Amino acid sequence: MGLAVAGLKENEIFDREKMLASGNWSSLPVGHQMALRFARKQALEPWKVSQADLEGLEKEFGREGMWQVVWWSGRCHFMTRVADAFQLPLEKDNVFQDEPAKKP
Amino acid sequence: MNLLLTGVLMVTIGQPRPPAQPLAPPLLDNAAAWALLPGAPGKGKPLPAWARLLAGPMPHATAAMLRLDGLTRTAPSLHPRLRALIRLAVADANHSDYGRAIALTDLREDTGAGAPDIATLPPQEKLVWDFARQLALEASRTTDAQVKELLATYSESQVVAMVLLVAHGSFQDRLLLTLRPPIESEGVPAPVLVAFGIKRTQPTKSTGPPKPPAAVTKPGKEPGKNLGPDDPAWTGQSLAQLQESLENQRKRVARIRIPGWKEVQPHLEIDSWVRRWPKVGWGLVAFGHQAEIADAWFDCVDQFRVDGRRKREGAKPEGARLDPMLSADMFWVVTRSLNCFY
Repeated sequence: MGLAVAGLKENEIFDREKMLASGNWSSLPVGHQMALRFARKQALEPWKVSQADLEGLEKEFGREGMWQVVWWSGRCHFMTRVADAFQLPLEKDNVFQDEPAKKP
Repeated sequence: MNLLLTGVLMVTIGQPRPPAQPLAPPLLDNAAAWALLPGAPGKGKPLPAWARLLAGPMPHATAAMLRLDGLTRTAPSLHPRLRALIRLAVADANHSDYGRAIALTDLREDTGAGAPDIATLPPQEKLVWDFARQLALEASRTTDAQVKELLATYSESQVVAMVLLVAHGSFQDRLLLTLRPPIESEGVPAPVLVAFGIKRTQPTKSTGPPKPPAAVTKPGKEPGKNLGPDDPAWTGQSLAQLQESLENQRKRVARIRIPGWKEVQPHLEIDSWVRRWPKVGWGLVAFGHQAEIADAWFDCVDQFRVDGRRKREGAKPEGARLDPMLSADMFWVVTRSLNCFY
C-alpha cells in the first residue's frame, strides 16, 4: 500500500517488492540502504540501536536528516500495531489517495 | 518476565541518569524550548526532556507529539491505572527506561501507587498487560482469542484505546531509545495538554493518482555494495509467499467491528483527517471510537512533514533524502521485519 501511495504502478510495485524481499539492495544508494537497515534493526531490537548506527545515518543524511529517518522509522510502528491488533481486511485500492473532504 | 520487570523498574526515578545521545539535538532549557513551539500556549509548564531535545529541529512535530502524549496519558476511556499499566508493558517490552518513567510517574500521580507486582495483577488487568506486551513485542502473534477475550471484558472503545496506547508507546519508545533523554529526577513532567498553534495541511485539490517518483531506483554511488539483510528470517520467505499471505488477509474477518461512515462521522472534528480517507478500515475503527487520539496521531505525521519542508541546515544536498520512495521502502521493510501484513 505504501508503495502505491508513493506513486508506483502495479508492475513497479512488484519489481520493487521483489528487490526488497531478495535482500539484495545493491541497486539502491548507500544512504537509502542504510536507512532501510536501520529501520529493520529499530523494528526488531530498538534497544540495540547504537552510536555507530546513527553515525552511519548522519554521514549520509546530515544531522537533521538523520533524525528524520529515525522519526519516520519509529512512526511505522504506530500503524503496524493497529493493523496487527485488529487484523483488518486489506483494501484492494489505494485508499490513502486524498478524497475531497466530506461535509460534516 | 517478572524478574526482568523487577530489575528494570529500579532504573527509573531517583537513580543516576544516563547521558543524552551525543548526536541528539541540544537539550534546550524549558523557556528556550517553549519559545520554539508554535504559539507557545503553555509557556512555563515543564516540558519533558524529549520535547526539549526535539523542539529545535522539529518544533511542529514536537508540539503535535506533546498533544498526543498528553491525550494517551489522560485517555478518559481507560482507568488511570490501566493506562499506566499499558505504558509500562510497552516500555518493558522495549527496554525503554524513559517509557517506564512515564508510566511510573503517571501511576504515582494518578493513583498514588508504586510499581505494580505483575505476578499478582487481577485477571482483568493481567489480560491487558499480556496483550499490550505482546502487541508491542510480537504484534503479528496476537490472536483472535486474545482480542475476543478483551472485547468480552472491556468495551470496543476501551479496546481501541488500549491498542492506540500501545501503538503510541511503540512509536515513542523508538524515539526515546535513540534520543536517550535524561530522565527528570522528580519524575517525568505532567502531560502537556494545550492548544498549540498548528494548522493541518489542507487536502490537495487534485483527486487523480499520485505523481510517480522521479526515479524508481537510483543507482548507488558504489554499485555492487549490498547492505541488505541475508539472514534466513528475511530471505526465507519468497515474494510469492508474501503475496499469498496478503491475499489471505483480504479474505479474513476483522477482529473488531468496523463501524460505518454514518456511525463515525458524528464524532469528528470539521477538519478531521479521516474525512479525507473514509474508506480506510483502520481509520474507521480508530476514529469511530477514539477520534481525538487518532487525529492527534495524524497531526504528528502532518507536522513532521511541515518541519521537513523547512530549510535544514547541515543536511547534505547530495545525500539521500527522506523522499516518498524512501519513506515507503522503510515502511515495507518494517512490516516485513515484523511479519505485519499491512
